[in-house]
Amino acid sequence: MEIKEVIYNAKTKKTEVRNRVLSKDEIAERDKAQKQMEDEQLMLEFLREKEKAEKKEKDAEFEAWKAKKKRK
Amino acid sequence: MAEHLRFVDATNGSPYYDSAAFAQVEEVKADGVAYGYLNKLEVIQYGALQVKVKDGAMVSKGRTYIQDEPSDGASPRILTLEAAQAGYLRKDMIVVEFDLQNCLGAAKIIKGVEDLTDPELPNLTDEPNLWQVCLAIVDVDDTAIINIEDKRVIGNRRTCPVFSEDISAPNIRVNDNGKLYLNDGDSAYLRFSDNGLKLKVPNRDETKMPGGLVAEVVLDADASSIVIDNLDINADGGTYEFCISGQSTSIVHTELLINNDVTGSNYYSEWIRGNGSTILAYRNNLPYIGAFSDSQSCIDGTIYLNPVSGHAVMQSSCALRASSNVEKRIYGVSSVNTFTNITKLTLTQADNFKVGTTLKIFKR
Repeated sequence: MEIKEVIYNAKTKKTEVRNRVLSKDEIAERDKAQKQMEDEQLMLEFLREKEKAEKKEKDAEFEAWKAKKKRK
Repeated sequence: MAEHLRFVDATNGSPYYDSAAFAQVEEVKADGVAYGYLNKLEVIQYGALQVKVKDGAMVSKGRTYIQDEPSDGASPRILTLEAAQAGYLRKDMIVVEFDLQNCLGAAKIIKGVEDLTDPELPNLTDEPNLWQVCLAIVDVDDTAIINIEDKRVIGNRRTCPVFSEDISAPNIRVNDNGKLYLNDGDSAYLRFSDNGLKLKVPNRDETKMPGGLVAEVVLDADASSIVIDNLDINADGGTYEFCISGQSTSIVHTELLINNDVTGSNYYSEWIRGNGSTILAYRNNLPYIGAFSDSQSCIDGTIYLNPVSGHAVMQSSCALRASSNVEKRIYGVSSVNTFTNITKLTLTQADNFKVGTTLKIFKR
């Protein structure tokens, strides 16, 4: 697998572009990162759904509390 | 009353210094042009090809130069430049020359090299007994002066040198006693670094930052990674600030790796996200500095080495692109390994950096 790297030299202020083939280790790292990213994505999706349900519940509770407070 | 060089060894009682001369030097003691002393050796245009050096004083390598004749006085310091050849341009320097051998201090012109479009600056002398310090660069054509660029470095009277005038932001004012004032609504603070006291202004013009720009990469095509090499965070003050922006599509999971440690599992990152009502958190065994996977326009943050442990630490933040759906994530990243310097930064993104992506790194 080939990747394209942009390399900037902070001393000379020059930029070069290099195509490089990833090593086996790097490919394994990349796959691992991909898996972690997917997990994070799923977790976020789960948390967002949970958050929505909780917010709905919280909003209903708040409205009831507000109405009760006004009656007083 | 004109130009003086103080102090040099006397031969047969000459030169002779009285207490007034010492008092005058005490008055201006600082490195660079003395702030608040007379007119700070400002170089102004006088005739088509003449400049005046206003009265003022400066210190260089412990030697004091004083020019106390006002530019409208009896014998103002006027320097006449040569015109360039027809069609040519030249950049001359107005300098103060410190000549210890001959006990002379004087403002003079150092002539540059003429060119049709891109003239070269002259080289300044820098020897133990003879050196020059630039006050201004003067651009000339074949008839007249076309520009004067102020190059004075201003010292701060009675205290250590803090900053030069050319890094002051538009809303910052410094009075004649060296006091710093900010206009209403602005904030700034001073911080210590290895290189002395520095002024940090959050809404600064980056070209005038105390530290300045260390690296800038603008992608003209998609790329898998961006590598910034030959850095030296120790020499650059110990902290870098960075900003990734300009990508036409959303920036997705972005990693930042230190030196040659490009193994992602050698880092941990934790993010906290707030959306106005709830807070979420998540940890990765990767150096993620951002971002949301759905819609994000920029990542900015800081990088430094923990001064006690030597672990690399990165703190960054990013926000959703849509203003109507403000959601913020703050990232904290730490390296498992320790380092004594940061010389290389490698940025990768899960879905490649897209054309237009801009990475800027600043010294703080």
